[in-house]
Amino acid sequence: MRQLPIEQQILLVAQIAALVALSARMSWDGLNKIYVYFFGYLVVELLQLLVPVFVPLDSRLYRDAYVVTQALVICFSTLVVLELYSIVLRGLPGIGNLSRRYIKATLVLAVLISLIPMSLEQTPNTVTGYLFIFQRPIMTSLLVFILLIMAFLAYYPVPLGRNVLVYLSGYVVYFVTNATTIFIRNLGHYWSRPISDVQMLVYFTCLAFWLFALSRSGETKRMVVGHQWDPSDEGRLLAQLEAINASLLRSGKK
Amino acid sequence: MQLILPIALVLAVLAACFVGLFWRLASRFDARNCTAEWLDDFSLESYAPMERLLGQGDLEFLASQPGYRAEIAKRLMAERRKIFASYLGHLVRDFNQLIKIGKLMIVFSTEDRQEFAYSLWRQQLRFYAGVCSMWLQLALYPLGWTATDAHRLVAALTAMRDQVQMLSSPSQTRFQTI
Repeated sequence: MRQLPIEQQILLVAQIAALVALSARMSWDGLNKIYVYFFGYLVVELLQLLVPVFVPLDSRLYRDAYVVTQALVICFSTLVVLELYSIVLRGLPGIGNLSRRYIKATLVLAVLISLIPMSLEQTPNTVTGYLFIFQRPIMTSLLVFILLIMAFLAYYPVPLGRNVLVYLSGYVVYFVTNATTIFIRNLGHYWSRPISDVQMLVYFTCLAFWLFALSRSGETKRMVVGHQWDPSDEGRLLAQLEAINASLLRSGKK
Repeated sequence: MQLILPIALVLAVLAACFVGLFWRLASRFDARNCTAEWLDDFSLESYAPMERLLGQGDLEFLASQPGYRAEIAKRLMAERRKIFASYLGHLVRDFNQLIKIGKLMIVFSTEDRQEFAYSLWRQQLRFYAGVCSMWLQLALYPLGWTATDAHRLVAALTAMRDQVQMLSSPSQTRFQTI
């Protein structure tokens, strides 16, 4: 019976532990109600990681279970990114329409960019091969999407919770690794073991980072515009905006 | 194997983009610097001298004076170029400050400000293009290109001020908490 290499077994156990801890932490802090899809994503990932514990790696059942759970993981990854931006841009009517149009254009652009390297990839001859062929453009388009949305957030002083920045950092590293390793696989290079090692190690690092950096207080701590945000800043900023408004009205009447 | 280098290159570019964006996100402008006091002190009139600093009128007058030497005009124009560059720096700073105020007002507005956002963006592009062209003209000035047009930049600043002014509203519920 085929078994995972020793380092992957260790990483698998570490990932399962990190996933369980992160899910528990999110539930404890109530973050599972805010980041619903992210929590769902963690649960699906956990299910997927538990498959090789109970099912032999060389069985058909393992392959089918992997394909099904991986398809779910891909769906949840997309929902997680969209959820993150709907949270960031929620309650800002001033840029509501603008951000919606920007997101639509960004999605189209991201998909188009992600399709460019497809001509280099080999035609698959297995079910998992087909899955990877679909997965790579999705991961790449999510990565490009994040990049373009970050550009929007860097341009407009949209208030960002510290948790959002933590999620973003983790996703960027995770999607870059995923898209690159799958692309190398799709090119026909089967350095399966080192590629899986890297992927598992990076994923574990991301989980550990989220586990320690996400917190309930990260929802209220905001990075608004150039400095850490405390509750008294909110009133100050509004007063400041009212004063600017009044000043503009005064000079408009001159 | 020959694709490893392009992949590494794309990864490096991506990493640079993300690092740059994270840095930019972490160091976005400080809203505390966008104050009504700054706006009250802001005046377009302070840029009036810019329009004649590099004009030929003063040079012609100087040339008509007794004891005139070419070096005097040269030194005068070199000093004026420096002053002009300093004015240009201030102009860009004021423009950026107006942009920041505009963006803050758009983001925290209770009404949809899509059109204003587009308009601000267009103004910004036009202004920066104008600034680049002005720096080029300034660099070419000693070579005899004397056709500097500061008026266009000051007009762009005026337009930006007007745009921001249009964002102000007399209604009671102008801005919202987040």
